[in-house]
Amino acid sequence: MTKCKCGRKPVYFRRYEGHYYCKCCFLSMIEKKFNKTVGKYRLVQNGDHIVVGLSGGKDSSTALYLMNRLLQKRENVSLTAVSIDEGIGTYRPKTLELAKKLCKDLEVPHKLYSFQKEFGKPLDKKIKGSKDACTFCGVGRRYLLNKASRELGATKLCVGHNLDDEAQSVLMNLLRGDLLRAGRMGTITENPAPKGFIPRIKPLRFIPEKETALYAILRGLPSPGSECPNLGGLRPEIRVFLNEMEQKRAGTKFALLESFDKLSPFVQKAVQYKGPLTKCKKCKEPSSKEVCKTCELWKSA
Amino acid sequence: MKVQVTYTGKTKSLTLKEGSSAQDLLEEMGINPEIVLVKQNNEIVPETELLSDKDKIDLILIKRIV
Ligand code: SF4
Ligand SMILES: [Zn+2]
Ligand SMILES: [Zn+2]
Repeated sequence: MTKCKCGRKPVYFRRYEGHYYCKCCFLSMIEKKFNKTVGKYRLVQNGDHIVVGLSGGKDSSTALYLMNRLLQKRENVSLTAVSIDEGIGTYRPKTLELAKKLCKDLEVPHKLYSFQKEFGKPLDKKIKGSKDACTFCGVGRRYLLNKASRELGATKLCVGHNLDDEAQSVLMNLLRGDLLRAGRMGTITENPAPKGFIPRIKPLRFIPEKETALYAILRGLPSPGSECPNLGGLRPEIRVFLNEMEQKRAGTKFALLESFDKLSPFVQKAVQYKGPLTKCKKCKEPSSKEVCKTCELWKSA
Repeated sequence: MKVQVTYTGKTKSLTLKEGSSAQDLLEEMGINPEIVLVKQNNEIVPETELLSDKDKIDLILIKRIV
């Protein structure tokens, strides 16, 4: 019978490394990895106020749980969770309930912002007849998370993107020829941040999706449940492709992300990205164009 | 051997070769191990775990939640 190195019964086999983990060793391995990423990339510093973008799904819940755990020992860093209600059918109310409960359990302050209040319409109404729900949703959410973080006085915005999300994004940006966006990826982005922008940190970036899911289940955090009914576009296809490649060659996702991170400074140089240098003339939020993407999609008549 | 498999809300009975692992079961069902966690008689196990006759297997689909 297979065993964890401590002798207990395993719950997980990490293929790309060839090791078995029991529940206990798995949890502590993920926690160490999280803390190591935070340390290595200096994601958290004294005096920081961290806002965690919390959807109530497994990844953001795991990010909040681990960040809260890490900050227990630090008095000079504060933590707030922010949830965005985009207005997605019965799906979002369910995950928001989970988000609320988690914050209550962890005693982390929780703030809720909505598309309805900010843009005058929920996503469901906005996308009627349009296929590209995720564009409207993603652009609006990023905008609102940044604005909320700034209003709350945050110094960092923490998001729950895992290794799979990030490897998918690398491929998607390359396949779309969107080097500008590719150049903005990283474990910490917009740092130093242009005025009005809150640096984003991604401490789960080197943890595969399967491991964040297992962590969430073993810790009793919100775990795999329903999926957004709008999920479509290129991402699901890339996800299937990368999972097939990972099956054939364990470690593919890591290799993709790590090699891209090494190329990233050159990509930034090539596209000469200097950050959002101006303010949107409509909403006054930081933008690289006269009218920002959010106003273009959400605030045009 | 025969095992009972529950996946995405549906339960069915499957006959497998003796000595089959959870990994073999996933292959038989055409499911990539990257998208599921396997429970054998209510305990999470690695896919390399060997299955036994009358096992109850739950496949937990890992979904992307934004
Ligand atoms: S899948 Fe698309 S529509 Fe659904 S929450 Fe994610 S970005 Fe929004
Ligand atoms: Zn162990
Ligand atoms: Zn604007």
